[in-house]
This record gives sequence, structure tokens and C-alpha cells, in this order.
Amino acid sequence: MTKTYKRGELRALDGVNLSVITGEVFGLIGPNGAGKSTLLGCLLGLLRPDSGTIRIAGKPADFLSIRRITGYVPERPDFEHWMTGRQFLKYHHMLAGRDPVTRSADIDQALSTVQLDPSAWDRKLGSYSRGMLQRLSLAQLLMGKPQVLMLDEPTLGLDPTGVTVVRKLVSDFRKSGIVAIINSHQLDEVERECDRVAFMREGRIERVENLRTSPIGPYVLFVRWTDQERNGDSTASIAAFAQSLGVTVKEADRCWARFIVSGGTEAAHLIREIVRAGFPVEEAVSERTRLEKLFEKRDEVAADE
Amino acid sequence: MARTEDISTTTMPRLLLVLTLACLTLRLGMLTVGSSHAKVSAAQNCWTDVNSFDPHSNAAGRPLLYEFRADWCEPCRRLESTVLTNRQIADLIAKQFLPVRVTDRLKESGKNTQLVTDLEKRYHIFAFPTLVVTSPGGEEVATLVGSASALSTVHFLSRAARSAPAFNGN
Amino acid sequence: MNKAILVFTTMSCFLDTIKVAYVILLGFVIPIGMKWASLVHGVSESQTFEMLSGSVGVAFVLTGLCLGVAGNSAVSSSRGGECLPLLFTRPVTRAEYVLTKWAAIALTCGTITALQNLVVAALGIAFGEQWTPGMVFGQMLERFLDAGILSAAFMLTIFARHWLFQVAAIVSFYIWLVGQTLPPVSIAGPNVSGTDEISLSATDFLLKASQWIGNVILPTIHVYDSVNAVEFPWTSVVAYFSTVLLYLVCAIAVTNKRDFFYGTN
Repeated sequence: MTKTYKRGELRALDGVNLSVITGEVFGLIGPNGAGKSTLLGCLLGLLRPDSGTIRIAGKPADFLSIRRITGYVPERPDFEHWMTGRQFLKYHHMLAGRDPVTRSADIDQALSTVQLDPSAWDRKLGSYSRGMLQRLSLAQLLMGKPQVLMLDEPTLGLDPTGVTVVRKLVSDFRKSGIVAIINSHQLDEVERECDRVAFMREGRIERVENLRTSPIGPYVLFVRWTDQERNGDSTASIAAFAQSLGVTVKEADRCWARFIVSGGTEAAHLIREIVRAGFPVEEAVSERTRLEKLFEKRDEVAADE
Repeated sequence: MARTEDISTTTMPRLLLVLTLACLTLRLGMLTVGSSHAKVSAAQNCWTDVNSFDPHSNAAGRPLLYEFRADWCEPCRRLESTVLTNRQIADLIAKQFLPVRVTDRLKESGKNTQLVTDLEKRYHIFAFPTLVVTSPGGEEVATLVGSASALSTVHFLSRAARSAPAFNGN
Repeated sequence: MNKAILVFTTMSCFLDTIKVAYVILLGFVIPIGMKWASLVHGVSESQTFEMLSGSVGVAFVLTGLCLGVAGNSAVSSSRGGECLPLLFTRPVTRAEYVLTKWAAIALTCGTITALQNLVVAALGIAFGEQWTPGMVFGQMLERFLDAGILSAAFMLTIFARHWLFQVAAIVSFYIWLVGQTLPPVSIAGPNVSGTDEISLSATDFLLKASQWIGNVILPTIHVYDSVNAVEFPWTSVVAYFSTVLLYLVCAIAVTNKRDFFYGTN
């Protein structure tokens, strides 16, 4: 699929091929201007691609029947400032063609799910904060009872409780077998929630990683300890200690070391053993993920591998 | 409101399109056939030409209704054939006014009678048609420039009739 | 017709404070005030004031109501309103959206101006104007018809974003406005020559041209006149309906073709 603007001057999408299966949570990551939002726009029938076809459940993306099953959380939507939160959801509930009998209950449930402050439900949108609008945007998604979700930066503007709401929503959706495509800069969230991730750059999909079948590796564990109770160079003792556990030391210094472990279990075991060995551990954290690595220049990534 | 047809959200409604094309074709047809020029109705009996108007004949002291017009003026033809023929208006004029028609002949003959020139000057006539309501003595009461709709003209005339100075007595 | 859009567009006309203030002022206070003033002071040339209780008044009210019709009254007004993309992800065809908006705006505007006309008629009766129930009804129906065609023209202008069209639309609107200032006339004048003659001819031509253009782009139906005419004016009725339909079809076509997304035009 290709999509250009300004009579071909700007190539927003430059030959994108993608398939997403039912029940999958698919992530889209990439630098700004990569075309992630444009891709979502095309999938939603808002943008018409210059070439290529889109099929959702076997039908074109702009079919009325497909609009009925898709849901969208836009990145930075605008709202009519005169509506209240409840009216806004009523609008979308009506537009989605849902049953008027359950309308009130559906709206209240959605507002509770996104944990929007009840005192705001009947206040005009003009008085909402950015975070509140984002929660409302999530609530609007629920109005349509969608089967295919497109989430564009769903955690943007949300505080930690809001992020938890998104996490729970996505996890609930996955349990129901709903397809979700999430565009996000929050790599840790993407890692946590998505099954597969596509890395986009300059309108193309550079790579697609399967986060479930190929575990993230190398898993680098960074451990730091204080030097107070130990004197002298710990480096040698660390190297020997790691070898005895069968763990590779990537690099080490007086007060810290980087270990390459095979997974979370091994990491936990390593930390336990280090503490038991008398190292007063101050900090133990997993280092740069593979997803972040994708953002590096192409030649750097190649060299690393 | 639930519709599950497999149609694109960018479909043009067929019925609307057909209706539009039909109307446009009809309009084109009407234009080609040609517009019937406004016919000047023969029922203009109550209007007196200004050159044969005798002011002393206004025994009832009615307000005067001048229609300043010209033969070449298309809006004048429209006024006379569609507005002044309106029953309500014709009734109103016949009962409440003394209607006088002032025809400008400047374009055709190169000059007007002194009477016409004086009247046009007195009431500041700059366009045709213009309806001027005056008292029996000739003081200007109300003016309506242009061929307005019948509705506007009814209201103009009824308002002017009411605000014109009272009769001079029998 | 989409019920949700119909309901919420009508609501936006009455719940959006700015729109309400605008409508009250331009829809009621000013025209009724001016009509009252012209009647009280016995101004002869009251037809100028009648513009505001006629199709020009409808146009002015519509301008206010159309603010926000495409979602311009947004919280983050910096981007000028992008409520439409989210709306178009719902199972609503773009044709449905355009037609429903048109109907909602036309009905709301028609109702407002028809009510205003009712007040104006009452004022007129108090000052000696002759009004029959048929006249009142005809006048009010006329406002709905005006609202219908103006709303269709506005829909097209709102959605057809090409700059050339926008310029043409704005210019035509002003030409139409000029044409509305006087009923059809022929400019008279003393037998002059030279620049005076050119000036008179030019005035006559400009007025006639603007009225002709106005009749082409915004044809009207004078209900009372038509019903009571010797010959029913079918031409003006066909002209009106064909123009309304044309504007609607074009508005839908343009909306179908456009991309609606955040950050696009």
C-alpha cells in the first residue's frame, strides 16, 4: 500500500505489506513521521491509499459493515466543547447504532471502566483536562463494541492510573479474541501488551518482531552494589561468580556489572545469588530492550548482530 | 438505524443523483423552450395616465399612488403583470388610492413633458418602477423602489394608506 | 437521515453559548428592532430593513449556525476543529452526514427566521399592514425554502476546500448580497452623455448582473406571489429545487473524495 501527499511529494506510506490475525494484539512503533498514524488512517477508511488494497475480515476498510466493527482511539482528537461527557458518549452510542434501551447503562459502565471522575460526567468537555479527554476517548471506543481496534498513542496524556486502565482494557480485549493495533512510543507498554510488533521508518515496515515466540534476548541485567563493605576490585570475583552460575558477564566494574541472562527466571536467580554472596545490591534493572534497538541506525543494528 | 449493507461509506445515494439529474434536465428544457415574457394585463382600468389626470377629480381626498415607469423597463412589466394584477393589491388600490401612471419617454422621444419632468424631480426618481404614495396635496408619504414581491407591495400599500394624511372631508 | 446527527446538530445550535447569542442577536433583536424603528419613524425605504427579515436575514443566521457544523467548535481550537475523523469511523456514510447536517441546519434556521417573521408580521399588523393567514403562512414557508437553499450552498462551501472555490463562493455571496439590496429595477436618468452616461449604464449593469447571478446561485420562491399568480411560475420552482439538489450532490461528492484525518487540511 502506498499513500502520498502533496501530489506525490510526500511519501507517507511507501509499499506497506501487513497482515494481522484474529485475536492478535499488534504493535506499531517507529520514529516520528514514519507513517504509523497514516497507516491507521488508511485502515480506518479515513484516508484513501494511492495504491494497494486493505481487507478487514475480508471486506474493504471503508465498508459500512466494517465501520460497525472497528473502534478507534485517535491520538489527539478534538471535541465539541459544548457537550458533556455523557452526551458525547450518547452521541457515539447512537452513531454506533446500539440499543437505546441499554444506552444509559452502557454509558455509565464505560465511564466507570475508564475511571473518569464521576463529578465530570455531566460537565462540559470544554472544562476537561487532557487526561480526562483521553479517558473519554477510551470510553468512546467501548461504545461501539468493536471487534477490531485501532489505538493511536492510547496512553498519551494519561497518569499512571490511566495507563493501568489502558493495560487492563487491552488485556480484556485480548481475552475476548479482539484484534488490536496499537501505535505507541511507550515501548515498555508495547512489549508488555503486544504479540507482534512492526517497526516502521520512512513509510516502510522495516521489521516485524514476534514478541511471544522469540523471547527478547539478549536479556541484559544491570546490577549495582555499594563498595562500602567490600574493598578491592570486585571485577575478578564477579567474573568467577558469574561463571560458576553459568551466566555471561558482558562488562563489569568496581560497583556494577552487566550480565547476559536467558530470561526472567535466570535473572531472579542471579540477583538472589549475588545478594547471598554478600554484594550489597543497590539496583538491579533490565537494560535496553530489543525494541529500543530498532530505533538505532540500520548499520549499528547490523553490527550488533 | 442499524444497516449492515456491504456498501462503501463514500457511496453517492443513487436516488438523489437521479433526482438531481432529472431536475437539471427539466430546467435546461424550460430554458431552451424560452421564458414567456411578462404579459401586460388588460385589467389596468383604474390607472389614469398622468397627462390626462385631473387633480380636482379627487373629491374623496384619497392619497395618490404614482407609478413611475418606462415602456422599455422589464421590471416594470413584471410589476404590472404579476404584482399589480394580484387581487388583494388591485382591491387595495381601487379602494384606497387614486392610481396615476407616469410613463417616462426620455429614451424613446428624447424628452418628457414638463409635468413628468417636474414630478420625477419632485419625488427624486432614479429608477423604474417606483411607487410613490402622496397626500392629495402631493406631499410624499412613502416610496417603494423596484419591482418588489406582491407580499412586500401589499404591506407597503396598506401601511402607506394608513399613514397618509386624513381625507380632506367630503 | 441519521437520527444521532440530527439530534446533536440541533442541540449544538442551542447549547453552544456563542451560537445562541449570535442567533438571538442577528435572528431576533436586530431585524425586529430595525423593523420596529422603520415603522415607528415611518421610513419610506423600509425595504432595506426588510432584507433582514427576508433571505438575507436567513443567510446571516445560517452563518452563525454553521459555525461548528463540521466540528469547528473544538476544545483545542488551534487546529481549527477536527471532530470529523472520529465521527467518520462510525457506521455513517458521508452522504448521510452531509444530508442530515443540511436538514438539521435548514430546519433550525428556517424555524428561527419563520418565528421572527411571525413577530415582524404582528408588528406590521399593529402599524396597519394588511396580513391574511395565507400571507403569514406563505412568508414563513418562504423562510424554510430560503434556509434550504442557503444551507445547501453553505454545506458545499464548508466541504469543498479548494481555495479557488472558496474565493468564488465568497465573491458570489457578496454579489448576491448586493443584488438583494434593491428589488429588480431599471436605472433611470436624465438624458446625459459621456462619463455620466457610462456611470449610469454601469450602475444599471452591475445591479442587473448581481441580481442575475444571485438568481442563478440562490434562486428563491416567493410563495404568496406564486400561489396567487395568474400563471404559476413553474420555472422558478424547478430552478430552486434543481439548484438545491445540485449543491447537495456536489457537497456529498466532495466529502466522499476528501481525506479526513488529523493534521490534513
